[in-house]
Amino acid sequence: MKNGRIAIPSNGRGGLDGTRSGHFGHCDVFTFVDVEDGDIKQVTTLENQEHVQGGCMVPVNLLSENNVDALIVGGIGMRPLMGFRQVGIQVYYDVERAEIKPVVQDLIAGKLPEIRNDQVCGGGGGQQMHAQM
Amino acid sequence: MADILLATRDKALFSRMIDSFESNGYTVNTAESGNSALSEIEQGGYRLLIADEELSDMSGKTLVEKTVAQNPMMDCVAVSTLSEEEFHEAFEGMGVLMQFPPEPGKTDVQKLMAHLDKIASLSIPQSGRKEAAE
Repeated sequence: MKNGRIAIPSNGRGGLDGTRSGHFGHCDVFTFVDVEDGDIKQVTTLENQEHVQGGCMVPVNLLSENNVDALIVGGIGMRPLMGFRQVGIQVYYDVERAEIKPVVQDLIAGKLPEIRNDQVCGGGGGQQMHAQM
Repeated sequence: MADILLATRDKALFSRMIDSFESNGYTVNTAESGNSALSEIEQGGYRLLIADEELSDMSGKTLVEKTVAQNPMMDCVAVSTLSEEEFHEAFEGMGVLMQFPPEPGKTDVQKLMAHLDKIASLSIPQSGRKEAAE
């Protein structure tokens, strides 16, 4: 990924040196990493909204309104995944690492896979980093 | 165009629920099978699907799964006799708003309306919500 904004569900105050939240819909903040020509230009954070059952489209709309191009998750439900795809946000997957920086670096380097439909949470889906909506 | 699509083989079980929705100004259309519900949804215009537990051609859960894949912006309610814990496990990731009993009534509709109002309040962009630089 050479250009664009990456969002990472994060614990606490977030930031590039922070840790990822396993609970996508319940994360404290989203860390935004703005990339230009393959370099990190700016890192910001945005507080998440309150999570309520069935409110999967709230974070989808929040990230869409904030011009996010790519999202890195450790787990996500089918409905929000389809919602992100519908608004044009690509969803990438890493279930192993808790740190933000290495997964961002891998995404910029083109080494992080997009999530597959059989990796979503629930409904007999694949493994996950605890998370779902 | 109706606001709500009810998928059920037995509309009579939902008469109190339909009356309650209609008294709140909503219209409810009925589809008698999962596939007819999916066709209706594809044509657009619905805000909410209420899926009965078993339909003639698929389960309510399967209908919700197909609906979410086809139109993730559509809200769903599932009729189910499962316990709260079993329901959560069975419908995990599908973003279902609420579980309804087999014969839902006014109280269930009121709870749903309050829940939708809560979600709508979260969806409104909040002034003062700003990014913080690291």
